[in-house]
Parts: sequence; structure tokens; C-alpha cells
Amino acid sequence: MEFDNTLEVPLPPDEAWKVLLDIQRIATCIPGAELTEVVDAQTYKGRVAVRIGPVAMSLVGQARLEEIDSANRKARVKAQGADPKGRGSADSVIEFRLEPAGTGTRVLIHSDVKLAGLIAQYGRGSGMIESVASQLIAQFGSALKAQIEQSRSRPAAAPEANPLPAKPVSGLTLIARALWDSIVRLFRKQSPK
Amino acid sequence: MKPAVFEYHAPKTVEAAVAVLAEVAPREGRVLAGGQSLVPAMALRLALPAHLVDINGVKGLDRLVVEAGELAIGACVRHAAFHRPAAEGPLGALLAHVVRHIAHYPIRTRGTFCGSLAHADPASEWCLVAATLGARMMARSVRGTRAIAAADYFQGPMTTALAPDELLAEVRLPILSPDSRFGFCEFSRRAGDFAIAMALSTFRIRHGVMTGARIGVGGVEGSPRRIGAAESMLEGQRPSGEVFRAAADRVAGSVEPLEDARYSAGYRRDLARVLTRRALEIAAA
Repeated sequence: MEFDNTLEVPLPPDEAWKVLLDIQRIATCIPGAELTEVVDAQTYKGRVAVRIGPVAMSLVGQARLEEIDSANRKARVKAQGADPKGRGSADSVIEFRLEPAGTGTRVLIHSDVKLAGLIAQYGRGSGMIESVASQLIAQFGSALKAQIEQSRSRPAAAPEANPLPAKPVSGLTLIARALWDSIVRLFRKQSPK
Repeated sequence: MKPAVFEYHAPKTVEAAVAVLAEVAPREGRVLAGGQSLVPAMALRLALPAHLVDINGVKGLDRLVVEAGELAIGACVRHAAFHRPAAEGPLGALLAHVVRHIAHYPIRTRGTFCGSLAHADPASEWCLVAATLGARMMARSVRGTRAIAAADYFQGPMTTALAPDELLAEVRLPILSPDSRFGFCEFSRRAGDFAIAMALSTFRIRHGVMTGARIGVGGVEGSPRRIGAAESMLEGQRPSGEVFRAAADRVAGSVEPLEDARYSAGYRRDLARVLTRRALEIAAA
């Protein structure tokens, strides 16, 4: 499924471009994410922890910067992740494009996500995933904004602790909800009347 | 369908329960109360908790009493306990009315009020009641007890302010004054299904005009919440179809509904409007 989101960054496009390509810095702004290995300048391994009510999941995988077009400030990232316990996986291609917006920058994000396993089997379609994505991107945006403001006030400081609470942020709760609904439905259908 | 291997703990006191929870929470330990959400998820191996802390044998958690102007609801109080009014006056009547919308009777004999609040499904009736009436959640851990206000408690679909090692030991609902009126309205395709949207309103009528109005909507957004902008439109007004329609329009304009393959945001917004108006009319009748 494909969908679009936007994000405002309080930096001019040239600076925002540099920040967005600093993967180690960006990773600290992704809710529940942890960078585990830098394979090379384009390839990063990591995991994203997600809690969905009673369902705690950690998607383990890698993200690869496939295309970087500095002239047009466009980038394409391919990210794959799977639950080590076999409950599902996500395969996505995400395209970023920057354009000026006032004194800041607007980041246009186009995502193409394919889900497999339990999530795909029970998920209720694109609307749900879209709201998940917007929620995650909004959380990412505010974390990034907080981080940019923090580094402005103390320019020389080394990147400190993640400005976000370490708690896995449950953007995927909505998927869970979809899942949940279907499961309950399944149960109700099967239960003898 | 069988759950994955887990370790089972059956503490007998609240102190023991929070102690074992503190120990196992970092290693995917979960509290088991009624188990109506957790256990099916385990059977499908969606939820794979390594430890379960069963609180059903804990003394004192089945408390359901009125004290100091509040209805105290312990962690093991089942939904079915509300079929008969748990408090005198409008609060008991409200809970007895709402409980009939929760799933089916067998589920209500097992599932718990506090369990619903800890699970925080966007379409949970009890979560809407807690958010609208301004409940206080009493979170107990080895660090002590803290009270969490409803406005701070709900943080998104199935996401709350509870820390992993905290037990929602009790929820406290403020007693409604004897002249309070309430209206609750829910829409789902079949009885017992999750609500697609629901609305709850309460107010009093003094000298012919409304006062202390509260309007909450659930199932529409990621968490239930009060719509203050609509509440203030009722204050000091005489109850009338016109005022109710205007407040319902304000609710519809204030929500950012969830969207899924079956129900669009626009559909949920329309439901929020209609259900709010009906809830207000029921309260006024």
C-alpha cells in the first residue's frame, strides 16, 4: 500500500538535508528504534520496538539508503524488518523530498509498505496503516524538532540521550486494533451459540 | 491454539503482587485479571508474555465501595458487578446502563473494569466513562501508589500512562450529584461488537438551564476524551434541540477520527455528531 505524509522541520532546506542524512542522529528520533550496526555509509541494521496492548514486538532488520539526489534534495530508503518470533514482517520503500516552507523545510514522505504474516493476514487495509504511519511520523517530527532545538541551545554538545522516553511508542497500536478486531470476530464466529 | 511457555505467579497480597511484577515486568511480565483480551492473544501467540502475574487470588482487590465521594473499584471487580447499581443515584444507574453494551454476558462475568482501563482499547465503554467523568487511576508499584487523572492517563490506542511494573489496583469514579442526568449512546453493527463510535453526556439542570455539562466521545479517536469546546456551549443554556445540534456539530468538528477499510473518518465523524445529539437528548428527557 502507498501513502503520503508531510513533516515540518525548523531548519532551512540545506541544513535540514544534512540532518536528515545523518542516520545515527535520525535514528534516535524514531520512536522505539535502536541502531545496532552501521554496515557501511548507506546500510544500517537495527530494531524497532513496538508495543500493542498485550503484544510486544521487536521488528529487526535493516535500512538502506538506495538513492541520494543532493541536487534535488531527494532520497530513497529501503527498509525491511521482521519479528524474530515469526509474527510478521514489513518491507517498505520510502521516498523523501525536501522543499522550502517559510524559514523552515517541508519534508514530503512517500511510503510503499508491504506487510506479511499475521499483520498482513488480519490487518484491515491501507487506511489503518496510514493512520499508523502518520502517528509515527508526527512523533518522529516532534522528536526531531526537540532535538534540533536542543542542539541549537548547546551547539557544541555531543548528542546526548534520546530526547524521547525509551518506552516503545505504540504507533502500531492501530494495526493491533485491526488485528484485534479480526481475532475477536474470529472467536465469535467459532464460538457455539 | 495453545499459548507459548510462560511462568505463572499467583501472589496472595497486593504487596507480593507488585513485588513480583517489579521483578518480571522488564522480562515481558504481564498482569492477568479477567484475561478476556490477554488470553486469546496468547492463544494465538500474538502476545508472548514470559511471566503472568495472576491477581485473581489477591485479597482486597474485589473491593467495590463508596467512600469520600467516590466509587472505588478494585482491580478484580468484574463487569457483571455493575448490572445492579454499584452506587446510589445517577452514577449507579449510568454504570448499570453502560455495562450492557460491553461484549456478551459470559465475558462480563470474567472481564474486569480495571482490566478494560489497563488495556485501553479505543472502543472501550469503561474507558469512555472514566474519561468523561474524570476518574482517578490508582497505580500501585513497589515505589508506592500514585493517582493518575483521566486526562493524563489515556495516551493513544492501547497506550496508557501506566508503567510496565505498575498494577492498576483501583479506579475511583466521582459520585454524581442526585440531580445529575446522563445519556449514553453507542453504535455497533451487532450487539456485543466493538463500538464504531459512542458518546456519553452528563449535566444538571438548575433554574431551567444546564450546568456542569460533560460530553465525551469514544471509539472515534485513538482514546476517548471530553470535548470541552462543545461542553461550554451548553453551560447556562436551556436544553433544546437547537443547542444540542450546535454542540453535536462542534463535537464533529473537533474530532480527528480513526479511519479503516470499513469505516471512513467521515463516517465516524457523522456518527460522533448523531450519537452526541442523541446522548444529550436522552440526558435531557
